[in-house]
Amino acid sequence: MSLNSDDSRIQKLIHYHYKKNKHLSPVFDAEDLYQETWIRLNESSETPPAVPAGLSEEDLVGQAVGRAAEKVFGKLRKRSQRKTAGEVQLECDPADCLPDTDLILDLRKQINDLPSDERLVIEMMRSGYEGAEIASCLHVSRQSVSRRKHKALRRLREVLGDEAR
Amino acid sequence: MNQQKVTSKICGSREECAPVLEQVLSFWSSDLTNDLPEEVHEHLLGCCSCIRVWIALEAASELASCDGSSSNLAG
Repeated sequence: MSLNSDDSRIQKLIHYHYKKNKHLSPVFDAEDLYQETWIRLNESSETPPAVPAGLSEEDLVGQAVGRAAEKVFGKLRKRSQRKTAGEVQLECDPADCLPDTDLILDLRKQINDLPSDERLVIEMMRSGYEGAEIASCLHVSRQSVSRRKHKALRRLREVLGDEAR
Repeated sequence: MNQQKVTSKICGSREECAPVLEQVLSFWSSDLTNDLPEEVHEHLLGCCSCIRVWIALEAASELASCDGSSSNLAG
């Protein structure tokens, strides 16, 4: 995700944090607030690695799958740590868990094609924002945030089709 | 990494996987620090189909971010 100061999300985040922190002091420095927002955004965002020039789409997909698999298996391992060794063994071969490239590209297209209001909610949620925070930031109700999330997930679910049978 | 076309390795039944898929979608969308529900975790350990969907979602969202289409979020 590339960040620049013209990004409307940053402007919205600044507005949100200004509202959240304006009680602190009448002389609270706006630049400090901006920096705090910037740091939080960067800490919470999953910034993809820079894409080296000359890589084919197949290479990019392969690399993304590698990182995704690492993340998913990492979460499964982490979740398993509280169990005994006999209970945590992955019963299927990790090599069988690699997704079809076409599925990934279809999902990527669907994410890119999501209506902007739905995608914004999904991206903010994936960045760690709670529904209430998003509602406050976007000046909409929590129900609206929830509705946008569910509509976006329904669109992605349609792409998945029978993938999970 | 060479991509493999995997369509035949199925671990759970449709009835078992459907609710897990919904949970995986929800977990993917809101992530991140929360634990997976116990029953979802147990299913995933034995179901490469559902793990495959989760990996696909994570990979697709990373690629979508790389597309630079985040500028569409304005408004």
